Amino acid sequence: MICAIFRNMVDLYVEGRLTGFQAQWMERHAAACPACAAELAAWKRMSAGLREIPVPPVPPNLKEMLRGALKRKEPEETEPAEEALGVAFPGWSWEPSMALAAGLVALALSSSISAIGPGIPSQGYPDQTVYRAPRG
Amino acid sequence: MNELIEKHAEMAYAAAYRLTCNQSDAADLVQEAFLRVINKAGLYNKDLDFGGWLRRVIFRVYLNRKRGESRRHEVSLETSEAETPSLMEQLPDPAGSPESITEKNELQADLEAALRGLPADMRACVLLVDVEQRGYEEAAEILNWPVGSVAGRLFRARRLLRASLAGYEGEKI
Repeated sequence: MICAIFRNMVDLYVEGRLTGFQAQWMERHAAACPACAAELAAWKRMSAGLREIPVPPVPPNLKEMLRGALKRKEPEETEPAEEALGVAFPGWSWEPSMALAAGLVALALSSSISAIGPGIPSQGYPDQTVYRAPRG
Repeated sequence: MNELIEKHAEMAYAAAYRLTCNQSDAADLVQEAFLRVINKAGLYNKDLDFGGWLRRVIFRVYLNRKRGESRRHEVSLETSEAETPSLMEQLPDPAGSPESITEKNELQADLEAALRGLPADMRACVLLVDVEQRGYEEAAEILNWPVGSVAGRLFRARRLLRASLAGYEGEKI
């Protein structure tokens, strides 16, 4: 059970994301449990190995290919909607506060039109309302 | 334009190659990302962090493509090891011969193979946080996900990596 807790947190310990108390607990447990000490060493090596994965060499023709592609690009070419990509560029999207303000303005306009009352056929009373007394 | 290419092509290619594990896909991804950023942001906007936006576009275009592929084909997202030459195979061997590859290089080769076996979203998280050493918040911003999603994927991805390496190397790691 304790070893399971240790193994759930071991990557966070290696990353240095645990608090002082948690880190000390991990170190005490690793000192007392050879299996978890080996596990910790393995995680440290894995973490170091990931950091040292080499950067791949750039193919010699990549820059030429990019230059060619950018030259071919028409300036007025349009792109697919950025929302489809999930990519929004700075200054090109509505802030949430602006969207909220616009919504409030629309709501205020619609309620003020309702307040004008009769005159708008769908919202006012009919011009001639006929009340009939029941016969008999 | 040449200045942008000279300055950012290597970074962009490195990110794209690590994501795609394939030279031609990486070059295609880099080209698309350059075109998108330049189309959207103009040839050069001094206020724009071109490299940062390029990186975001590379990751997001890649993940969108992968999502599209999985919807269309419902086949494995990953390219097989047989059809994709390993990164380590493409790099010059610093020691000169296969026999003299160090244990460290073997670990890196195995790590790279294990990374290639991860689902695309998990691989993106591992690349940003564990390989490029970015914070969770920065990775979340690049990927346009909540920080919790990045943390959850990292948790699963690291355990998958660890399990893969246990299978590969026994007691060595």
